[in-house]
Amino acid sequence: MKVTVEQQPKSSVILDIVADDDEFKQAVNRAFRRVNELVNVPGFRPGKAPRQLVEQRVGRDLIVQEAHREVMDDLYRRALEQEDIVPVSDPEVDVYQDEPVGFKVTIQVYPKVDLGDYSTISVEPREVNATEEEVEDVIQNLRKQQSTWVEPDEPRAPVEGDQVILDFEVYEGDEEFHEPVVGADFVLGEGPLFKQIEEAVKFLQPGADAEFDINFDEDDEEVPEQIRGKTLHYKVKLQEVKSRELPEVDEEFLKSINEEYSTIEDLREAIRKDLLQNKVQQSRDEFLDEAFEKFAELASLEVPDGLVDRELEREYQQLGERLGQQGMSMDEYLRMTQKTESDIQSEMRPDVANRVRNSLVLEAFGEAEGVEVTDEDINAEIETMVGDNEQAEQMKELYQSDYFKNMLRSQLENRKITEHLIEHVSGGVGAITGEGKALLDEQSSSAIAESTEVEGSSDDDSSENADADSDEEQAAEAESAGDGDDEAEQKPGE
Amino acid sequence: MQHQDVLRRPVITEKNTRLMEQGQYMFEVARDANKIQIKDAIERTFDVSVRKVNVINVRGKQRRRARRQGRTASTGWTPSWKKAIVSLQEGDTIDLFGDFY
Repeated sequence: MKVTVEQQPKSSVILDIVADDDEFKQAVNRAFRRVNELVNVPGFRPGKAPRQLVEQRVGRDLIVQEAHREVMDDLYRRALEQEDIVPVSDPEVDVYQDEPVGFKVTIQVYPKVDLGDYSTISVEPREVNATEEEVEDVIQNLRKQQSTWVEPDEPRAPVEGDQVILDFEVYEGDEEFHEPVVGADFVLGEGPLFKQIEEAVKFLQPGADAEFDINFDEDDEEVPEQIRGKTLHYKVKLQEVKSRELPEVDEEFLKSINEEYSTIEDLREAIRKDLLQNKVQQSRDEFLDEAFEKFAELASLEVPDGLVDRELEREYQQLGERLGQQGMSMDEYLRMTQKTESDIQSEMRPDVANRVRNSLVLEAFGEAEGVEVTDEDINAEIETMVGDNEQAEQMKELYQSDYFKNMLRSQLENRKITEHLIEHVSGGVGAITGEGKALLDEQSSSAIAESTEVEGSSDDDSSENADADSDEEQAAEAESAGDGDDEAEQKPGE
Repeated sequence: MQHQDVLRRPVITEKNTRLMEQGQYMFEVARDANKIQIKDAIERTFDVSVRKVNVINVRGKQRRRARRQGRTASTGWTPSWKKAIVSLQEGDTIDLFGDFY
């Protein structure tokens, strides 16, 4: 076997493999014997016909092809081993010579990342603060969410922020476009109603109705795809108009959010923490992204498509599994979103490619800096994970398996290298400054306190934890309400 | 009888390929050909010298063909033929796998 390797861009290589004469002849002989068993020559039992006759009958090519099949797989494997190449894509094979077989294989290989002189890379830490206005916004949203609707003293046309109760029918030409909607309530400016409808409704007195056409532009991103470029005819009847009454920020309001809150300051503090938490997460991601970007640029790292393909395949399967847990099959999901498998994969692709790139950088950085995870680290992590759970011993047992240990190791490695990388590019400052940093410090110190506190009354702890969780949920709800995107509500025109 | 009419076809079977190794070749020949005519035909056609010719008459085999249920099967015969095993002089060969047909 003769192998020559030719490096190609995008971390792919072309292997030129030629079999030795002798080894190939033997392969052809073996191939002949196999073919002979299958060929029917009158006057001969299967496998007993003379070679000349068989070749005349089936053609020499077929026998040579059969020999190729047998020998190429083996040659390819040996070539990979000999040249120490780890492929990450399916090989593209081009046979250019028959006897002895010679072929070129194009494959993408696991890239060898040379980070270059990364000591100069630095990333500006992100300052994370939560302003009073932001806190105030969340409170406003909470109030809006809990607002009550009252009839105005005088009947009047609705304005922005009013609740309207509508009946409507939609036609495309003479055809009904969808089922008529009766008595649906919307908040103007905050609901899912199309702007065109809202504008029309603002001219109506309660009890009045109107008919109008709406032309939806081909490229109107705000409406669902199936109505873009269509003209729909609407018949709308305004039943009622109600104006909003915001609840006062009083004790009752506080209690309705969380039983624990007795003063406005409690609420503010909880919201503030939550805001910071979200922002810290986001800023840290941005910070890391920038860092990876810079590293990749310096290393002029090109991520092989094959590697991305593999990861994409894996994540697509994971998506399927997650859907399965929600009781939905992939096919149903595709029908619901009206997408194809390749649509979804091409949507996922940029993100996945980024992640692959990042993990390549991280791996190379970890190696260059000699970051290692020891068995002690892993055991310590297991201790923390198990904590003072009742089934601590059993859980520990479970975590002792190689599978878990390997998983933990790679997780820990990732975390450790990431921390190290943040240290490095921020000049030891860390990814986050400002109020967010204080929050981070507080959390990590309390985490340590928690893990060192092995004995003690765990009851108190857990109840506190539960409360903290519900705080977060409340604030998260408040935020999603602020987006004004309540998907549960019906969207006209769909 | 012209010599071209004597030889019908070579009989190539597993058994006969073994005979070839000892310089013996089997042919189907005209039913009314005799050993002398066969020897002559082989020598002219393949440019070799023949040492000996053995001939065998092969009786056709009875074949029954099934009829519709309840009727008697009709019987027939596959054709009878004559085969000749030709032994060549030491060193002479005939290439029966070639493309001369």
